[in-house]
Amino acid sequence: MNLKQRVIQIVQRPMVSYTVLAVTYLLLILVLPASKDSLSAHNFSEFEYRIVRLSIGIIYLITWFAAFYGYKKLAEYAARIKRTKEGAAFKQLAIGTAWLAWSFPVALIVSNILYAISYGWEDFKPTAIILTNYLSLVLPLVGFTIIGSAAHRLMQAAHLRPSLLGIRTIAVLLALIGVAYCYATFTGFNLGDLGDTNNPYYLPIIVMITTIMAPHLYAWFAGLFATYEISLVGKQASGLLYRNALMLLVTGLGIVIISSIAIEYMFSLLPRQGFFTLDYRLIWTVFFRILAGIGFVLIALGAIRLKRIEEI
Amino acid sequence: MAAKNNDSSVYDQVVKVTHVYLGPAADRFIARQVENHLHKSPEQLSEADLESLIDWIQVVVALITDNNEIIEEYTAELRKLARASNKAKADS
Repeated sequence: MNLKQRVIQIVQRPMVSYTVLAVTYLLLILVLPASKDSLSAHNFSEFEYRIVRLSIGIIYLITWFAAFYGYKKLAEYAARIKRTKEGAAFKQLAIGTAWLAWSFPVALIVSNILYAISYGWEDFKPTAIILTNYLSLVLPLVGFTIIGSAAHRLMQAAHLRPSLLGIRTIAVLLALIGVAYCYATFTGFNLGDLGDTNNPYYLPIIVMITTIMAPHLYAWFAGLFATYEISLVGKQASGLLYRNALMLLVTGLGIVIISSIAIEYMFSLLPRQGFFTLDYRLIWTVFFRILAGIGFVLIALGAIRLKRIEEI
Repeated sequence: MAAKNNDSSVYDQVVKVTHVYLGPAADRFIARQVENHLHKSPEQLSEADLESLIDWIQVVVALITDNNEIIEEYTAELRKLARASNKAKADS
């Protein structure tokens, strides 16, 4: 069995993957060195630092569990209806949801390792932050793009079209979000020197615009548009019982996408520092992760109900 | 041949009623009930099978939803269809 097959096999067993990721994360909290900046900022002892990290880690683990369970149930439903008209779209939806479910643990585990390296090797800190920023961008971006394609397929299968009002609302929303994001990001840059990397992202402005800001704006557009299209599919679906179940799934997916966008938006406005801090950033992250967890629970409930319709 | 056309139209009418409750899953749902509980292929469904099919559907839909109002409304629609089919058969 080659590496690709092994990876596919692991991804197809979400609860096994979850267990591996959860154990890895808990071990990292216990094993990785504590940041001196974190300890001094909050007057923590090493023991207190690890207890706080573990407490927050347990909340994260619960939300990851919901995420992996949610995409597992959605994948099971998609497999059940694979030979139907909507089968391919639901399979794609399950894959996109899996990307979102994987994005948070992978980004968190990798960033924890990178930051830990930078605690003992200060010169590595910019690399750690740059890689974390790219990783946090790429995984949801792929997820949103796949979910967007799936939503569009479902729209086509249901012979639906986005309304002009809907498209304009998303355009206005994205313009507002985008302008605020660009303004907040540019204030951290020396705009007089395009090659300057002395900023919170450790990137020259031109690289920042082309490889971080533009993809972020695209990702948010893809996410918002997918949420809009999926909500249309849910609202317009025929069949009272089918629609009720689909609405649960669709609402869950919307919550997951919006909370995912919110977290990335927050880290775009308030750049990562490269160490653990107990501040409002953490509170918002935990809040949106719990919200995403609730979204994944709704996805699971919707998928379970839809699957039951196809089984009995 | 005429009888076969008539039989398939019963199936189609049941699917049409079911579509209001189960949407795109209606066709698959009814086909499964006919095959699993009546041990027939969907094309073989006849007016005579309707009462038995409705009883099965009532039991099965109760596993999908707790909402008795929906279950009663759905089965009432199916019984109305069964009565209309029987009447049409008697008239012919």
